[in-house]
Amino acid sequence: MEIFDYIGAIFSISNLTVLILATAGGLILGALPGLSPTMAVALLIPFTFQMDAATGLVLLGAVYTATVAGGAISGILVNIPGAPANIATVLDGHPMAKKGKATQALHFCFISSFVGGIIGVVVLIFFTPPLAKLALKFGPSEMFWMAIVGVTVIGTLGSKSVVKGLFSGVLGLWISTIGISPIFGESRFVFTDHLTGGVHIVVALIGLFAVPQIYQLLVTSRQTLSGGLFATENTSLWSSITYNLSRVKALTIGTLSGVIVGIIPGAGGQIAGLVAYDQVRKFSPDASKFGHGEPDGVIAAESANNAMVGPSLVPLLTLGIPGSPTAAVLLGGLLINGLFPGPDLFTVHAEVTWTFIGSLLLAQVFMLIIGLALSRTSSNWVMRVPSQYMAAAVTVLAVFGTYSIQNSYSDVVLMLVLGSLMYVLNKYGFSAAPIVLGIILGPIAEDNFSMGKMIADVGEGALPYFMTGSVNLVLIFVCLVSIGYSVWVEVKQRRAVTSELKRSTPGTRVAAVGAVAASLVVLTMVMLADGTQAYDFPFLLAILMMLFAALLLIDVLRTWSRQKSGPGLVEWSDLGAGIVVIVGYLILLQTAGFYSASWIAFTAIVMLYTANKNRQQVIRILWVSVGFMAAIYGLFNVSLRVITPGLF
Amino acid sequence: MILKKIKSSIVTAAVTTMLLAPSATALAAEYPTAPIQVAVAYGPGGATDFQARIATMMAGNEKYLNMPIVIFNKPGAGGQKGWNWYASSASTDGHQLAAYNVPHFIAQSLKFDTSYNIDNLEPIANWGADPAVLIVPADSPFNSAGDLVAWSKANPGKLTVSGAGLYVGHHIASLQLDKAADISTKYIPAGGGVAAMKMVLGSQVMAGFNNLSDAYRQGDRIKILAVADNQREESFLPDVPTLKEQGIDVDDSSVNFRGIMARKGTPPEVIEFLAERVHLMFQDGKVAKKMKAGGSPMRIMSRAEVKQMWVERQAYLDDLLAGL
Repeated sequence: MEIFDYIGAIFSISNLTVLILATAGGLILGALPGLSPTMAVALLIPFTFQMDAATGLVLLGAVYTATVAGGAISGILVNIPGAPANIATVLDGHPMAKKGKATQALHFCFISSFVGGIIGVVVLIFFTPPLAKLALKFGPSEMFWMAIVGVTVIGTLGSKSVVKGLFSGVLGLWISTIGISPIFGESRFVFTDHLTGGVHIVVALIGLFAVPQIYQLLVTSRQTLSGGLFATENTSLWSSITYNLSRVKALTIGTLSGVIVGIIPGAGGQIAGLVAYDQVRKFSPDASKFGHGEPDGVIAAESANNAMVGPSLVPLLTLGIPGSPTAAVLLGGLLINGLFPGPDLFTVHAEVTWTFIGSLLLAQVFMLIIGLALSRTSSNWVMRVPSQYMAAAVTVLAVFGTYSIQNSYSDVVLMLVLGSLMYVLNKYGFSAAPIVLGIILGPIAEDNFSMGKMIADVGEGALPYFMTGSVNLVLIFVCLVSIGYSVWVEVKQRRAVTSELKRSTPGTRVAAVGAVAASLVVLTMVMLADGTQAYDFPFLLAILMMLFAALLLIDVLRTWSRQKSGPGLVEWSDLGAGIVVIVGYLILLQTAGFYSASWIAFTAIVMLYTANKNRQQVIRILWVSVGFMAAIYGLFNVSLRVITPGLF
Repeated sequence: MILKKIKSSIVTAAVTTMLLAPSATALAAEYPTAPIQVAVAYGPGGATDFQARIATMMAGNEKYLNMPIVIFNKPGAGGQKGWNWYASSASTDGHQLAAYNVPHFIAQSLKFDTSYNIDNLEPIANWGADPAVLIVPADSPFNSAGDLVAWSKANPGKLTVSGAGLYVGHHIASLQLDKAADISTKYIPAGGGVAAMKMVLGSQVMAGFNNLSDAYRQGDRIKILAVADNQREESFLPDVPTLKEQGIDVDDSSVNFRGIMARKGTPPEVIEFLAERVHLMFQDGKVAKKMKAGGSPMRIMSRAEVKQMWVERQAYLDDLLAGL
């Protein structure tokens, strides 16, 4: 074992210090919405200029590992995944927190991340050469089918019904086509200047998850007196460990999915968690438990997204082809230090490489220890924050996080608009996870289909190109099994649910009519555009949207007359003040500086949503708001060097 | 005699410095007043991104800009997204600059409805030039550009060639190859240089144009058949012949020039200041060392040289792209 030759370097004091700081910092950064692992690693690259090669890489690697795990903290506690990789964790992690099991959910998250992470790095150490060969087998046709496998997962993700899930997924795929098409260079669906650049995945992630949560928190603060988010039960760490390790099936499925997705270049960890979540749900004897706080969901998702880290470095270290967006940034870190991917890394630069890989193993250990130590504290802390303060803090963080992705005010507008729509969609049984997954998979599916078709057209033709080859056939088989299973479950569930219960679901009529209207709008836009090749994929999506909307409508029409028109689902009276503040915030961001606008918005939200204020409380609100803005300034301006327009 | 000459040149230098110093200090007091942002139109980790980070790493030094440069990425649509934003919305006080890639942005401004063109952007200085190279998988039957052209003549339209995107340097090189060798290849625009390289490594395409620096790092996992430049790249690939040497008349129009630019409307004194200091900054020994370590060929050019290069490229591309 070559790695043991470098044990001295791995356990050197300086290396350990960097590891501990990077892990702790990464966990905290990862927990903030908007600071995705990719961004955290990119922001740190300049700091590595001053370090020697090994230390710099250890820093980047440890931050990568820790941010991926850290994104689960905000996901579980506040229902806002810190990064796309953590979406699947939220689906059962937050319901667990609401049931009082926040600490336990965090324990599972870090224990599973540790297990997945260690196995992922071990795979990297032992299986690099054969896996690199496998990675190269993924050309356009294989990547296309991989994306389709992802699409088939969509229907079962957290929505009330499979049809609504599929509709949301296709809607997400369509959102991903907004902006300039990378293959054809044509501008599509840009009906306002804010959309010229398309919808960035992290912008959508923050909007679709954080904004509905802000509104929900505001409603909660009006409707409950205590104001706290949830209670927590005491759980012993030991019972969490024994339970978690006993869930062998969930851990195995999660780790395997993570390893496989990780080595496929370009797919990235963003979908590892979701694929694992879907698999563990399908293999479970009682799928209906998922989405309501089933620990297996958290275990599979988190073991998957950390198991992905090691293998995503396989194509990077051997071929210079990064397996995930974050690995792409790490490649820059390697090159700056004169380390070229390839066999040289393990011979000429063996010391740096093995120190790096060994430190990645060690980083998992630190992540486990620090994460477990933070679990109880953070859940108790979040539990005690009153809803209106949490809503105000999330609003400001979401704005800063969004802005810092590409220094764009348009992104902030898009984030708030998309998120506000999502709040309404949530009320009618559509959920954010399939939409975000659609936005992730859209470009992978479309670009690879277009490229594949170009290659096939001059060669054997599209049908044999996409339908032959062992990897293609395996992926097509997985797709068919996945679809077949979803249909079977849906049919089974429909029989089980009494028709009485189904009819009384409020808002079904509105949902169906809304879906039909939305798909008609999309179809009209596609038809009005010149029918170039660039619109082939959007046209297909419009047809699919029509199909799913029609299915929803048929379902509703059968029982139309018998449906009760229940009370309105959106609590406009409780939200009015909040919406006014947020619109005002958007205007102030452009006229005043970012910091003064944010301070006003924060104070206004807390003031308006705190009942029975006395003088003392008003003073406290002012102190908290100033302290919070100082922290935001320190984090974004001083540490991360995000430059915001305007003075303050 | 010699001693006197040295003496006089020292005096001249000292006087010049004294004369120039106050004006430079006066300006420096007004600009820059904050860290300078540089927008990169490609994703983090790509060649442009990481070279930009190295090229600007010495900015904080008082000899140069006395303020750090912060890179931020606005990737999408082969660079169009970032540059569209830059030419239409960036500030013109000199605190928001952008990295350019020639011929990419010029070709795109000719082919698409973009908000940028060479007339509303101001070059500052150029740091690098990465020629496109013609590559094939390691087990490919092609061993020279001639083999590839001969096959393509026998199988018209069947030769697939990958590149980083639409109307980037690689695409220009493949158009030039088609024109010079009178063949028609099928260009596959991948979502970036790395994706295009992957398609060659995995034999999903028969050939590709890619960055010299990235191809060089691949070692013997690919075969590099030719350099699309006027001369060989002596420091990294001295043994690889140019296309011209192999009888295919392709010049350096596809070479990927990278540098820094400002938006039109930036005060002339700020542009002057940047043009002088950034040009010096690129020449810093530490920058050169890191660039060399990363396998990135440098070509430092002043504002005047870049200005001329932009105009020449525009004229040539107008011609090449006219028939498409």
